[in-house]
Amino acid sequence: MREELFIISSRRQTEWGFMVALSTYLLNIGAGLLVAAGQIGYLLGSTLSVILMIAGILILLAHLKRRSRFWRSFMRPSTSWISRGVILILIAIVLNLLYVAPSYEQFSWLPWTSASVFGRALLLISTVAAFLVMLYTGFELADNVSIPFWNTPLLPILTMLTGLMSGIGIIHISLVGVTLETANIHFLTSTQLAIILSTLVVIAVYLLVMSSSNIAAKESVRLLLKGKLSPAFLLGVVTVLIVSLLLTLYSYLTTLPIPLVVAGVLVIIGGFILRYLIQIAGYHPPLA
Amino acid sequence: MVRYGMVIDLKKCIGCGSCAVACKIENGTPPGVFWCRIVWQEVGKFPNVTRIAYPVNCMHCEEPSCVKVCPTGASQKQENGVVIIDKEKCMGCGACIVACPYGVRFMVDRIRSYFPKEFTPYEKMMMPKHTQGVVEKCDFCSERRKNNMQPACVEVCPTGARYFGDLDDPNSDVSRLKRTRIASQLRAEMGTSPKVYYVS
Repeated sequence: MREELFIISSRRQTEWGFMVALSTYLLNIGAGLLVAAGQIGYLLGSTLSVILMIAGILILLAHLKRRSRFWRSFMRPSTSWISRGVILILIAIVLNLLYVAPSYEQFSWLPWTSASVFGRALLLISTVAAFLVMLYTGFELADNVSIPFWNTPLLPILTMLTGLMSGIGIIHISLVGVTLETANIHFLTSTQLAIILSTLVVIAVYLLVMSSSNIAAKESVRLLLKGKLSPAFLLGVVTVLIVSLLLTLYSYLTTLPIPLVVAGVLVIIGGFILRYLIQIAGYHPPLA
Repeated sequence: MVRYGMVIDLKKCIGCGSCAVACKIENGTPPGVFWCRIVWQEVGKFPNVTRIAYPVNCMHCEEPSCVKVCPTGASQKQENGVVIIDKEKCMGCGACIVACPYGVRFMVDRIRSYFPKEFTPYEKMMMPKHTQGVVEKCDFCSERRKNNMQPACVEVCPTGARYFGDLDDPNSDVSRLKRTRIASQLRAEMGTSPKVYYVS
């Protein structure tokens, strides 16, 4: 029996755990990849983004206790961020599939191409939807006034940054097997540098703001920086992001691809650990 | 139209837990599910310390955060102000549990017995009231209200610490107490405007 239910104290949220974190992270990373791949016309990346988002939805379904009622989650976009999110995900997936489909031989009969005006319009709308999906994964948490550690506009900014960072990370990893234009790699690498740096700054500001917030938010910060989650946070997030920043910078200066691939793997790991830790570090304030 | 609410007199409450037990009996909630519970607060500094009992059930908020976040519309606020869960619509995502500042919503993961071997006849009788994989909470004893009865927790309180009634009726006990005593709400700063008031 959970003791904190019967005493007045901060109460850690336990309802959303690993599955929700994994699901939202896959949605986030898929949306980030969709945006990044769309910018450089990398069709394999666009296809992979759809696969990642579908995987995210499937894991979300696995988390639900009543999966057959999932269709009902489209019913309340006026108030619920989950509702808004699933609608946006559907738009991003469908439009992106329509955008990439003509590039594959089996669908070459479609009356448009990825480079046509219609194809570009599909890409533009799916990119906007993907941006909103990245924000949704933050608003899903930030909309909860009951958990002060989440209830900040910094969270959607952070999820957008981690989504883009991980999306670009996947493109960097794919450099092992795919040849991309040097100009595109250079553009993505310089963007990645800015994103990793911004992510680190936003994390610092986020923790600083929360450490001077109410008792529950302070407890969350303490848990991440000094409590039992601190090794995972300091090693799995802070160190990993700093190392990936340095590797990306090294690769940017030397044009060596291997550090970029390693950095790509690291940002994906770091991004997921960050999401998971923020989620499980959420505390409800004491009742009185 | 009535607007149901509850007032709990902390001066009268002795923390006996009768309300929590009555709720369990009335609603036959499975193990681990508490539609009503007593939460204890320690106040003061040694050696002058004491404990205050807060009976806690769903606050049936005026601005319920659970209703706002529910993606399926399963969590609803009725015209009489009572917040309910439509079990046929709930998909068990847990968003409302996370959103509720009071920890009064529970996921029924598995309907199991309190006893190791098998369900008791009483548990078997109450089982159909509960659905596996959906969220549950206090509904101010909707079945009893239909029969013009008070919620079970109010009925059994040995010290008469709980009052239930129409907050919009100036002559009701709840309105009078709210007006004449210092009434506070739990976590009022969250903007949920709970309709369970604590007087001391």
